[in-house]
Amino acid sequence: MKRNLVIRSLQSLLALLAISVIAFAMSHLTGSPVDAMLPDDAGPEEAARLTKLWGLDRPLYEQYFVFLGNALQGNFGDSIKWQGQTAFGLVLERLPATIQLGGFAIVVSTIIALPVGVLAAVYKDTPFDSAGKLVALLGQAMPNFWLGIVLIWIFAVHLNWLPTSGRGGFSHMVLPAIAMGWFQVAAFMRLTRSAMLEVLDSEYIKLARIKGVPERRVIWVHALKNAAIAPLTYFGVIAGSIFTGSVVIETVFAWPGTGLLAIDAIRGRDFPVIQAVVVTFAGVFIVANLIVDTLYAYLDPRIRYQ
Amino acid sequence: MTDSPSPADRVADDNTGRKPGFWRGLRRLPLIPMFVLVVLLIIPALSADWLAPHDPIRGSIPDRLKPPVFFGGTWEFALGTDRLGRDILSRIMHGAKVSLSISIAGILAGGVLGTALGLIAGYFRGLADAIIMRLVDITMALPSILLALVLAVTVGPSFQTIIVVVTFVLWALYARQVRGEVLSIRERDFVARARVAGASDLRIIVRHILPNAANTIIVLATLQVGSVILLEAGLSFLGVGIPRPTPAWGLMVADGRQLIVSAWWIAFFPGLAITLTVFALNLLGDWMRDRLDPRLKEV
Amino acid sequence: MSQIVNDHQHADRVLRTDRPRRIRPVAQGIARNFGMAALVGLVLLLAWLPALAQADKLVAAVSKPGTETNRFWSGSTMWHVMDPALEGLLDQDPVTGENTKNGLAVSWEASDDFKVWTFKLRKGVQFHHGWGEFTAADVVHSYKLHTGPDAIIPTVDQLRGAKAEAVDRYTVRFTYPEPNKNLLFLHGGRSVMKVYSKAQFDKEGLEGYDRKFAGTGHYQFVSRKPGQILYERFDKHYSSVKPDFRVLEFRFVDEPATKLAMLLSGEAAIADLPRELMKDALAGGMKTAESARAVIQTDVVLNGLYCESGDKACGKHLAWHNKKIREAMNIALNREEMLQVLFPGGGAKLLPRYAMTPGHEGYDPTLVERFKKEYGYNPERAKKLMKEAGYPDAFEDPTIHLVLKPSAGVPEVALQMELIHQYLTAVGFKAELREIDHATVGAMGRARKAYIIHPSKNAPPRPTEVAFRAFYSKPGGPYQGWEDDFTSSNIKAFRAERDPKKRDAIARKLFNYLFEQYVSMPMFELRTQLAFNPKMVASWQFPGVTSTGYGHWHTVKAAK
Repeated sequence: MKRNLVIRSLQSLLALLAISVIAFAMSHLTGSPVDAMLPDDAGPEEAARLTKLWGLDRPLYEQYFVFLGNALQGNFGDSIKWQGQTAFGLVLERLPATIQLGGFAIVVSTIIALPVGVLAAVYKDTPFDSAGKLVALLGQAMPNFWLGIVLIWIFAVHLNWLPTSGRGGFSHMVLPAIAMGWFQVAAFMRLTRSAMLEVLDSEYIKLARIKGVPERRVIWVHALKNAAIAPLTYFGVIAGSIFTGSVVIETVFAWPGTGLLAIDAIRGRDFPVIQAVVVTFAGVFIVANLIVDTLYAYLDPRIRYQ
Repeated sequence: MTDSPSPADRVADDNTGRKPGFWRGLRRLPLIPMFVLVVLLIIPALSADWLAPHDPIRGSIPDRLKPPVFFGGTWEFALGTDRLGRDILSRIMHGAKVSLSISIAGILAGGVLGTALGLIAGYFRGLADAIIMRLVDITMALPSILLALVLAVTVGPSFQTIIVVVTFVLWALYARQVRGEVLSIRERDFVARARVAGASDLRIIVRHILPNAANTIIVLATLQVGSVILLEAGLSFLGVGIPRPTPAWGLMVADGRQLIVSAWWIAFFPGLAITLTVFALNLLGDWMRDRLDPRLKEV
Repeated sequence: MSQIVNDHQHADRVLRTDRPRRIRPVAQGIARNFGMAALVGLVLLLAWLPALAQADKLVAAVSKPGTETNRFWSGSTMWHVMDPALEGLLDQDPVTGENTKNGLAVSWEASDDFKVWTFKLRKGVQFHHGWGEFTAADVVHSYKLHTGPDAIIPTVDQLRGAKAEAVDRYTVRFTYPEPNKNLLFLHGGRSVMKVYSKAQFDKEGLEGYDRKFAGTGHYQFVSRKPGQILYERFDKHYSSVKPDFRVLEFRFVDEPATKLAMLLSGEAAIADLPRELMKDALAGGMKTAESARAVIQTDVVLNGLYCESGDKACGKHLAWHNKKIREAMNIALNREEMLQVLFPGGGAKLLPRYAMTPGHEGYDPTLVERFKKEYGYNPERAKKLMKEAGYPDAFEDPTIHLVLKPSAGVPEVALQMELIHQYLTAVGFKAELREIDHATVGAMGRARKAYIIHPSKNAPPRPTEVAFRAFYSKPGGPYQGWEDDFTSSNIKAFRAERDPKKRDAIARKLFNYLFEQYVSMPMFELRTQLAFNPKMVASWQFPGVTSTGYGHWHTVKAAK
């Protein structure tokens, strides 16, 4: 067991190293920040001066090792597009916005999906089951930016209930969270439903019924407690998809998070920021996976991923 | 994975492993999703060249921004026209072809690569397994949308770059699922029997393991068609999708979103086409999953 | 994984058999069980907090600037959001658009050879946040910042090279080694140098600027958050004009539909919408504000023609290397129609020759007349010219590679290029649209491999010498690809010439030549247009400076 953990950790370290190479290559593939920043009437001397200033005239391997050495100390260099800020500082500054929105989206989708999933299992094959499935699947069928714009149009412009965009109070989160979270509802709901079906069929539920426990209590306490494990394990998958979703949703709702930062950094060829975003996200993902896998193995030897 | 075999497994063990009822099941396909798919995706994709009333690429400026019929328009442009005077209906029909070919090409590429690597990882285990699974981790850890953006600014967006992105997104998923599947299949009796009989690794993989993993692969593929269509839409929204003037659904929605007030039909109808198609595909995928591979829950 | 999930069908069967015993009427059951629904409803209700508009706060929803930094000198396309707090030596007139008005300088003079420039400064100007009085030392300090190694402002190479000195407390002198005739344009028309407080720098350094910089404008900087900048009225400003709004907030929003929604819902009072959406805004009761002058010229660059004799980079394989093809491409365009499609809200007119501006050297009014005839829409003649040129068989690469390049300040260009694609294919050109962003176009240009046709970077009208240098010299900027012997020898002669009459004649000759050679596809001259909500804003006048074009936020008048 311990040996396994050590091996997995070493492998993850290797993966992180590979990620650093990929992040470096990805940013340098995009060209040069000089071309993004230079005004249209600047001649070659200006371009050469900036290339030197940003250290882009040095050999690539040298640039990589400088980047790696600094990154190991948590320093990704100074941003080019956001002069006066460090790349990692920018990521940290915007991360809370993304986590806030993503977290809220997950909470909303759970709040909706869990009860609907439970009821869909209890009233299997009734109109309620079908309707729930329909609504959930609809969320998985709409392009999220399209949904976002339609939501803005209905709830912010026509009804004037909610703000259109930007980050502010709680009300600012509602529309983007729906546009982001609806997609997850279907997956959550389906997992809950099938887990519930399984649990409701188990011996101890039957036993509880025989013992005369009220049906409502059987469903919402006894059964749900056991059925909830399956959808909860799905969190890992969702957490990964938050970032991908956030790139689009943050653009539509002008939500100043990391997704938006990443797009702007790529468009501005801001190498330090691109690298900081990619490495941070990949690092968090890999470490989280490592922890989750380890926990699984300890908590429930049956659910060993291997 | 030493569970007592489920009824399906028991049947499977009797022959080379194909699960029963595949063709019988197909005959009971859910009608509504199939109908939607045929009408929205298959027929237009195959026949857009003859059936589409107008040229999907060349428009006429005097006809620009015509509303759909019933909203003040005429039957000539039943779903209205866009900013360049192109017929939305014709573009949707031609777009079906684009969406379908992206999905098929992308899923084929990602599916074949992922399945092959998943088979290798699951069957041989050991070092190959460790390397492939860490590659899976790395792939899943990298935000695919950033890769798309980088590719787009590097080599320019094109049909090929989208296929590359789709492949990148899908292969890891396939590899992971197929590997899990193979891990349990390889412990089964018929594999052991084949090995005793002296079959080579390649033969065991191709003849015994692959057919047993086929259901998983098919279900995954069906479920992924929808997400590939949505991925194309998302990429187009970010300006890194199918290049203009090719009529792709996602691109049409993305292009029309600006005019959502005054010319809502530009973005609405292709959006509706996407929604209905993906909806139907997901229903179909669900149905196939329930029939063929109920264990696949997390996709 | 397979262990934790049972066989589905098996579960179904069991459930089905005992359903009648267990399941209550569905509706009743849902009502009983779904107490959660109430909870969700409550949560959503909490969210229903209508946005309260603050009466003395002006919110402007604008596209994200190219850079987000408090350091003006190392930023690009962010002039409009820094303008409230920062001022330069010269100012512009918001009504006439004239751009050599008194700013922080009240008078100036140049030596006869344009090498020595002396500016007399305004007295009694206070810096924000109590950083004291403005003096010549601040100008010298700011000049150093704006010409330092990290300066990327436009035309910075022409600002560089001077010895800057404070002659006395209110006099500053710049001595250039070469004549610098365009210095007033740099300070006024392009407004490339803003004045920062030296006192603050000496005490806090750049970190102080990054945190809370002090300028001298009508508004002082409060804070910068991701996607937002906040300013507040500076009550000690020297001018008698007091801004109506106490607080000015910029919100960076790139999605046009979202911006329009913000405007219509009253969340933003001002928004920089694409022209296409102006119609929607007007229909929703909004009004538009327009710059006093045209501030942007647009062109479609036929790049890759680096064809001075002996230059191997010359794109001889390109169809548009042939003059007949260039002419055919130009007359295949129906520019009048494009004008209507692209700018339904007005504010644009046709431009006969890129970089040729009324009032500047070499302006030739006869080209305006000739333009109608020689560049007018004539598809038949285009087809004839193509045939004469042997298109497509005579060309190594007959494809017209059009680039859809989003350009800051001109969101219309994508649609413009799609229209051009339509016109060109209509007369029989083989054309493709490629999605390449402006940084990559720049990289291709710097490598002298830009064998593509792309929209110009949004360019403000500028003095003829500056324009020649940037657009037709080898190597000028990376976004322009026309070079030949005639052009370069004449530009050389023009730059060496001191006599204004002769200069004008050379420039005129050059513009005529470029016109006749169809070196590019000239498009439009634009005024900057923004939409505002008349419930909050009564009027706004701004002159139009640089490419982003709008500022003078203190002239925004509040609605009663």
